[in-house]
Amino acid sequence: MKLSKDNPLTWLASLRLTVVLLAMSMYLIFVGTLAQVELGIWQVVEKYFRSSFVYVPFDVFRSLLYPGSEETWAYGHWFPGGFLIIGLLLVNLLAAHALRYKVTGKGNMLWLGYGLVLAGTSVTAYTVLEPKTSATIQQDVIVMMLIWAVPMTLIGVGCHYIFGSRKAGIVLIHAGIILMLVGEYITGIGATEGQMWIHEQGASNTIRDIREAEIAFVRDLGDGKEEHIVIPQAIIESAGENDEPITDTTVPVKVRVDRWMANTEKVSVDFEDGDRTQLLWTMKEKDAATGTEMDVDQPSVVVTLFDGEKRLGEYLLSTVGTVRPIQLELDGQTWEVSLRFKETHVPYTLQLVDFRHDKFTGTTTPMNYSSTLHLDAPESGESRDAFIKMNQPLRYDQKAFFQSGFFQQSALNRNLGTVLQVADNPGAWVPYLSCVVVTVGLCMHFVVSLLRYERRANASA
Amino acid sequence: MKRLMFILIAPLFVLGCGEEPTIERYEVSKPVGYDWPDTALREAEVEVDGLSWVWEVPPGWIDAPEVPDRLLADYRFKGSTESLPGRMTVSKIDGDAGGVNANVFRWLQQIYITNVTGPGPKDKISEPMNIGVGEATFIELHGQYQGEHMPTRIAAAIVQIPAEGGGVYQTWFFKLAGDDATLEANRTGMAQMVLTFRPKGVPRPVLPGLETIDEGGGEVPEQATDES
Repeated sequence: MKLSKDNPLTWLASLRLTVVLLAMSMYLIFVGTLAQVELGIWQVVEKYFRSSFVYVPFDVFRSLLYPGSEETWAYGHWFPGGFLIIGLLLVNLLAAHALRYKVTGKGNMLWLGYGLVLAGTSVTAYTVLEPKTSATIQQDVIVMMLIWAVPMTLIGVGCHYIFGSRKAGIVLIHAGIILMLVGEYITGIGATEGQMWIHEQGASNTIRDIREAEIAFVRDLGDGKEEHIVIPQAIIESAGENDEPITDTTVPVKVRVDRWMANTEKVSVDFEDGDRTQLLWTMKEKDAATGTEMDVDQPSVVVTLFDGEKRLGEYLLSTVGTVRPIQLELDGQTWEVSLRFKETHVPYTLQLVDFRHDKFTGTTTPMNYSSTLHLDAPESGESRDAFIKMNQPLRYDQKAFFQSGFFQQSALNRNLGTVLQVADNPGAWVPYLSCVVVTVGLCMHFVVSLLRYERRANASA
Repeated sequence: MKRLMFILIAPLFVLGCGEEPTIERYEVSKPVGYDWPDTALREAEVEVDGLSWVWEVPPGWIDAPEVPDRLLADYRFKGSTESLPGRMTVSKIDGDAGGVNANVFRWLQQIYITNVTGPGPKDKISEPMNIGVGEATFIELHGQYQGEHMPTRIAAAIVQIPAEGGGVYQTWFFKLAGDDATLEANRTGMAQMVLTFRPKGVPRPVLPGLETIDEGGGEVPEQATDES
């Protein structure tokens, strides 16, 4: 099919567009990297790469051109964000395939090619979607290569029968790149991260996302169960801005948000009734955490609660750990109300048997952090030990549990327990797979080109 | 053509959008508790300066995986929540170790009570009590809430072993840390440990209600505590 220059598909499939988009992505990565002088990696990822458009302040260049300068630069410019550039690259690549890559196979060989690609794709899909195989693949690169060797060979041979020897390799390379672009979408939209804190000889089934808060009403249901009613941060902020109380029937009380504070620090004001163990805290608002240090935003909120029309009181709720949750008695039920980091509860428990913080002899330099855990999953009946150390995560339930840190009793400088970083990324396997597909494509293309060159050399000799 | 471009790109914006946040209600199971070994009442022995000392460790208390250098013993036991197990430590310093008050102030700081002039109204410090090997002072301190993983209470005993020529030869510290409910549930266990503390070979003290290793059962009477 020959298309005119004015046809949109010709324009979309043009190599010029590819080059422009790649140049734009390079600029975006450059300014995104510079932005990390002032912002944390997560802020930059969200602002620059997982957005459709981004406002790039000229101030990002200050650290490069005038290092040490304290004067903030004004103005900036809008630029396509990572999602938009990736999307356009995807469209560009698909359009190019629609236009330039034709099926050259014929008859039974073509059907054999389709069959091989289908079989290879099915086997690969099974290896990444079946939880245990998927975990094994991500744990060990050699095992991954061995497991994917057969399906990749099937796909490679299948492409050869469908597109012919000259184009099969390039088709595979493009398929790998498309997979990688799609993978970033999957990660950007579906990935979550959180922390799990476990005291030594303690247990936890709770993952906390320290980037988002929620008001939680929790009550004990007996038989080892709890009821949680949670109001997400976005709704709390909106209720505060619009001065509209939260009156959802799911929530046992009416909640009026008097003041939302995105990041706070504690200021003790007094003892409650002269009891120095019951400190009355107040919170001082401070600038949002930039993410470049260990700090995270610690939101607090002042709420007034109503039981029907009856005013129950004004309360300070805070993610700052020193503020106790409040107890509410409502219709004979005891509710614990708190502002906490967003929680996800998993149907299994990790118990911490031992946490080790090894140091190099005679120094305080950390040599290794590790956690010996016991995994207990009542639903599946699984009960086993697990060992986590730096760069050796536990992979379970499609999640990766990394050794992230530890918490201490500061007055004693004594380690109390472990902090695990829990990554749940439905697209975690995609970069591995796309790299393998691209590698197979490059190898095929290289071999085919080499053989063609050899044939020509022989013919001319 | 520009319009077509827009139509092609528009769906990409949709991909970047998230879900509308909603108020949620759900039920969850509490975590499966730590798998505490079912240990019986047992006698522990530790050698200090060539002399062996013993005490009784209550049922259900386990040895910590690692005992820090500064401690002679470190035990863990089930707390009232899975976020904070109970902990009992034993340590020793030669001499009087600054006396009772200095150690009370030190422990108060560990539970975040600072810049104070003395124990608070809820805190208790007993009169010294003769337990055979020396005099024991029982102490209970209340601290500030610092989050679900931090202890808010300390129950401790300071045992001063007299020197032959007068004064204090050694000071032993038995310290239990946890939250309110954990401390209440394990106070008698700590008392049993302190009351059975003696050099190896010295007969076990006969105290009414003290559990025995052979028979088990029985209760330790409330320890003597005075308002300070």
